[in-house]
Amino acid sequence: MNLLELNFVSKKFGGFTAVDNVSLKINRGDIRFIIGPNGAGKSTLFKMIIGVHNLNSGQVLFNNQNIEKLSLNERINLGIGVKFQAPSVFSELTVKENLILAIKSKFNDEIFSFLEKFGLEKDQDVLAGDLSHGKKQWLDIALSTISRPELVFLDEPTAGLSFEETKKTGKIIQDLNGEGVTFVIVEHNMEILKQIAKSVSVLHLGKLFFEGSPKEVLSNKEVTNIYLGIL
Amino acid sequence: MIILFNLFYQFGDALSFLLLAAIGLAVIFGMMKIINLAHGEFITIGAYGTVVSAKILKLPLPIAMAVGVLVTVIFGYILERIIIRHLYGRPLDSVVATWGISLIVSQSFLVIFGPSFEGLQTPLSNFQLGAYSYSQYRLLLILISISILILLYILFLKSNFGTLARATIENPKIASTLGVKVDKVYTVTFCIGSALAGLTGAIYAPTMTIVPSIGQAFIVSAFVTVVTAGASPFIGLIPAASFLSLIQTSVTFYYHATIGVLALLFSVILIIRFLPKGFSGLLIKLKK
Amino acid sequence: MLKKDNIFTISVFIVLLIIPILFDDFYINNISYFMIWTFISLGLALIWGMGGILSFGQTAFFGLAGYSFAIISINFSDIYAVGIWSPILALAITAIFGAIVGYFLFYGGIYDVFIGIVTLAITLVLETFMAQTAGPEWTVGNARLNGFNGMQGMPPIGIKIGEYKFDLQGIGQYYFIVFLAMFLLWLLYKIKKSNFGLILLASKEDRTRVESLGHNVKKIQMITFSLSALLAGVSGILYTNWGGYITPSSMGLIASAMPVIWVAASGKNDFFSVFFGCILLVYISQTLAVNGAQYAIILMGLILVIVTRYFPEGIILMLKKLLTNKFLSKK
Ligand SMILES: Nc1ncnc2c1ncn2[C@@H]1O[C@H](COP(=O)(O)OP(=O)(O)O)[C@@H](O)[C@H]1O
Ligand SMILES: [Mg+2]
Repeated sequence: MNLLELNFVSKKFGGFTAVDNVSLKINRGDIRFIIGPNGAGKSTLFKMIIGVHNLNSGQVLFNNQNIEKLSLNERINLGIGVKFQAPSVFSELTVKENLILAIKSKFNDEIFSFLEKFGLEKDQDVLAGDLSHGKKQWLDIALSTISRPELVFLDEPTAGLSFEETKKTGKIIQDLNGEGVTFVIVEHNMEILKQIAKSVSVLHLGKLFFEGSPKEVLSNKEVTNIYLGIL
Repeated sequence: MIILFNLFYQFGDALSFLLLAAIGLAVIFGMMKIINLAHGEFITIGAYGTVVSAKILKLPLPIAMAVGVLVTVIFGYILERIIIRHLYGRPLDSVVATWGISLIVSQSFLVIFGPSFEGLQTPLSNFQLGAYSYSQYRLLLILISISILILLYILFLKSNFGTLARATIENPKIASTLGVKVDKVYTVTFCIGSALAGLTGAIYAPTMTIVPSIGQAFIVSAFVTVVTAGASPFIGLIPAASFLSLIQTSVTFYYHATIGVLALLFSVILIIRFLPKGFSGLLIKLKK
Repeated sequence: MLKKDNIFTISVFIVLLIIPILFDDFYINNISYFMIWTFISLGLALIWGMGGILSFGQTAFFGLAGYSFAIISINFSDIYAVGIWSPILALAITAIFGAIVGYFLFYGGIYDVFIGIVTLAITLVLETFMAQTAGPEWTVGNARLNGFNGMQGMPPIGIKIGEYKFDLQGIGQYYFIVFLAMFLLWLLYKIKKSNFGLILLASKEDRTRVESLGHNVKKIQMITFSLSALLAGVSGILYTNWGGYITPSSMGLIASAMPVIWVAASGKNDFFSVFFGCILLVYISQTLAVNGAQYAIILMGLILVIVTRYFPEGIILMLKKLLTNKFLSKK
């Protein structure tokens, strides 16, 4: 059964079509990468699915339920987590308070295990605004996953991370996936794609351009070409 | 025919009042995103500047009005230099600071000039049409308000300064890397806004009782008009002012002036609720 | 556990509790008056300091509560225990009105400076409306609204059981206000530390991110707005009870600037600073106003400008932090 299903969704900004008739199915347990050059419409597609942008046309089904009429927080509460492209943690709250906000309860073991998982246990009383870039990214990912949603969207989770940090991020995502969380990830970093992707969709000029296994995508000439700007 | 003229006169009078009350506030809000809560006191300064120069210095009225405008500009300039410019990027704080300035100025006028001040005669004469009598000066005000709008339109949308100013508003960082002196643009814009408020005070001075709270007669109309106009006052100002003066004239016509003001305040609350981006937002949407 | 942060709060309340032993009724009544204004200020600190939402029209709720209390208690003055349920009813009306306005604002997508303008418009509507109710046709039941001059002659808050009668006046009123303030400060600290408070603080930084964690930010802002209206209403009722009158000018342009000044100058992010600073500033205004209200208003305007320009954190909060670091941080 599909966890998420998009049917012909489109989004226009003024006269400009940022997402054009995209249909997509995500299976439970998948780690789906969505790649494509800058401006392809990846972030816009995310925001349409979770309800930051409303659709101009099309359908969004989550667990076979139509969700395009619901507000952002209602969709999240169905079991969706999201990390936006720009790292957005609450800089005036401590790391611990950030996580409490995300899990919607008091400090508990779950929070402690997440602090450990992301290597943030020493920083729990530090203001999130004072964290390094890498740790902000991790805290941001922790915020979007701590309530154990069925489906998590990550928009460029490894942007600005070092090679080692990227590897560790991949490992964490894989662990969570092993615990049953389905991921949809926008990335430019092909290393982490090779490391953890189970399937890949390529978006180009707002349209779905190619779909397949990581191997198929990486060996596809046309996909390489759009990244090089030839197509 | 006479009834038609009468309606036109009432409507034009209300319209020019709203436009002139709002214009200085609109320039500063439209370009700098600051709501100047001391706007009413800028108008007060223009009015007192005019009356004091005409009564005490015995200057001829047009020159006295010019003095009124000048004094307001100088005041606006100093204020921008010592306070407002330090609050760019903190819009709520700049609004709060201008509220403090408003209190200081209005109460200082009360201390310095007392609760009222001998006013001026309304210049030009009245004329009779049927049963009604009309002031030529007020007709002139309608013309003036429209000419000011045209001038501003040219200044901000057609001139070199206007291009710079709009670029600065759009993106101050990029503008400054392109060599625009962002500080200067803000200062000049704030001074233009002050000049317009001063002008409003100057030209209405001969038609009103001169009291320290004279600016408060304008402030509510000014807020209402600017908020109704929305995020781009240059587009929204005329439709907003027309719409509001239509409401005010008709309500005042059927009931009385206080209810007219109430209707005005009430309509702004409703407009913000249903058109949060005001008339300019509506127009931009319709264009698309 | 006694946190060092609480030392100031506790000392101030100890002083407030022993004041009646040292001073006579005249001073006690004056201090009651200063403290009455702390509730509207705490409400503004809640919505502005914690929620990042600046309302210019808290006086609308102040006035609404004062007038509702006056109208209800005049009309039902011979009904049992009116002195207790009329203020409660007035508060309920105010909180509901606050919730409606909040619904209108936050579900309508109104934010930032426009909230200030709309709330200011609301308080000016109420002022303008009440000021034109001078005519005899403006009565609610037995209560004349009385236009510009305002209402008076309402029975005080209190209770009458048989022969025994207790009115909220004098020293009783003083202690009532002190205990109410203690309770509300405690409650506000609890809110600040709760998940509700976290959501509010976080939504000040990034509304969408908070929603994307599954929180209904609009609802929480609406509830907070209603709470802040309720607190303004507490001030309005106590003010009306204290002086025995309420006038439209309590909702006017100058009156509505005052809470903003007190809260900004004291330190909007700290409830204790707001409580203490508000008492101090009202005292200063009151003292200066003896020579003419203009001078007090000019000073308040100056304070507001200087604070926003140079001490955006607020003066009392700044001093409190300074003292804490100097004397209390030797671990
Ligand atoms: N809020 C918006 N208003 C107008 N245009 C937008 C908006 N958001 C994105 N766009 C445009 O839509 C296109 C796709 O943007 P985005 O989804 O961010 O691309 P990606 O994430 O793939 O780099 C870009 O051309 C961008 O300029
Ligand atoms: Mg993107």
